[in-house]
Amino acid sequence: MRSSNATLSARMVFSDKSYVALTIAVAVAFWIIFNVLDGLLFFSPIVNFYYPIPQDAIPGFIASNIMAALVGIVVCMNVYVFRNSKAGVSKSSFFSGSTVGTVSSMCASCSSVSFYLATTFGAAGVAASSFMSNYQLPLRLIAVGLLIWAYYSAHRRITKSCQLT
Amino acid sequence: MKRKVAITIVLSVAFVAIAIVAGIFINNSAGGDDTSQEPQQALDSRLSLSSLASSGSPVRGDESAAITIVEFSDFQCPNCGRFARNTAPQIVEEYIATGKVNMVYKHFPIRGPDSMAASLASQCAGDQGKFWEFHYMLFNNQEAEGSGWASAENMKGFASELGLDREKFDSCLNSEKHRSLVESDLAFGQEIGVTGTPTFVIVNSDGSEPEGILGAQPFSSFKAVLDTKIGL
Repeated sequence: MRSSNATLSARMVFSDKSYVALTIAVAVAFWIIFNVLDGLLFFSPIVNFYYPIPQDAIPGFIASNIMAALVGIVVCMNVYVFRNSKAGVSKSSFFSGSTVGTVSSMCASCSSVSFYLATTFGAAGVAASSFMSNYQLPLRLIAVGLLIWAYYSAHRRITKSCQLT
Repeated sequence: MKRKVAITIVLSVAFVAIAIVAGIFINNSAGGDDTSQEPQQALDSRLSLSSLASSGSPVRGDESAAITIVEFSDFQCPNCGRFARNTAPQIVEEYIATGKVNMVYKHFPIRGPDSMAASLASQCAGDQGKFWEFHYMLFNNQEAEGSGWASAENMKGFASELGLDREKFDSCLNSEKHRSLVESDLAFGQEIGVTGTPTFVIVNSDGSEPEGILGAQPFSSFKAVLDTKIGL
């Protein structure tokens, strides 16, 4: 009974195929962004995915897949809430989750972001870049936690509107 | 209902398209081939192998090879380590050992004082003919960025492990003998638009037709560019 209650919102939302499509599209979009920032997916000089994935990148890759899927689901559920319920959309946990997720991907890639941080903010920028690079995995786990919280918030908003008052 | 499905499809395609465009933008943002600031001929001569070698940059492979890979790298950068451990050995085996391509290392130490210390130390190892051995030793022993593993003191330990003459090495490192070379590499990289590491500029041996590769890309990306340049 409890588990069916926990998945009630998902079943309500994903019974409509257009929400499934939207979830997949958002998840794919974030998967692309995360993997480009991680230095696993490239568009230049050729479109290329790093396969087999280097050993050092496997934990980050697993976490970014989970984040991309969660972002897709949470966006979709919030769209459902926005369209079908009088309860407000849960913004904070979703935005903080996806922001932490994206930021945690950035500096590990040694991208120009860390260069701009270093050249703009000097030693503080170098420290910030090192922090994000060294604590990439814990930051991603925090992002996953925030996204799970965002899912739970959306779930409550959807199921609340079904309860008899 | 049909309108709803159409809107969903449009939204979905838009999301994915935005992600791809963002990806392409991120890939190109460090533009190793951003050469618009400098007249092409002047840039060609600075990227020619003779110019790169005479400036003191370490060169690996046959100096008469038709193609040169110029690598801008930082010993503390995790993705530079990924390149050195995974992709570089394949490039060495297929292109450098066969005399088709040579490779030049340019320092781009942007991760604080330890990055500079590692660059200086590697050049000191180069004075004793062991730049590439020292370079691999650092990348194979890479630890967390800014954790102190690349401090000047630790560099001396790596030098001992490699069997370098410690007296010469210490004197070279303590006097920062190669600081001007490392700083000029950094300035040169910035001039041609390098903003991240690793960045590669692949040129003909006279420095012409530069093509940039950003990031620790897999071997197949390098193969695609190199085979086109070689004419395979």
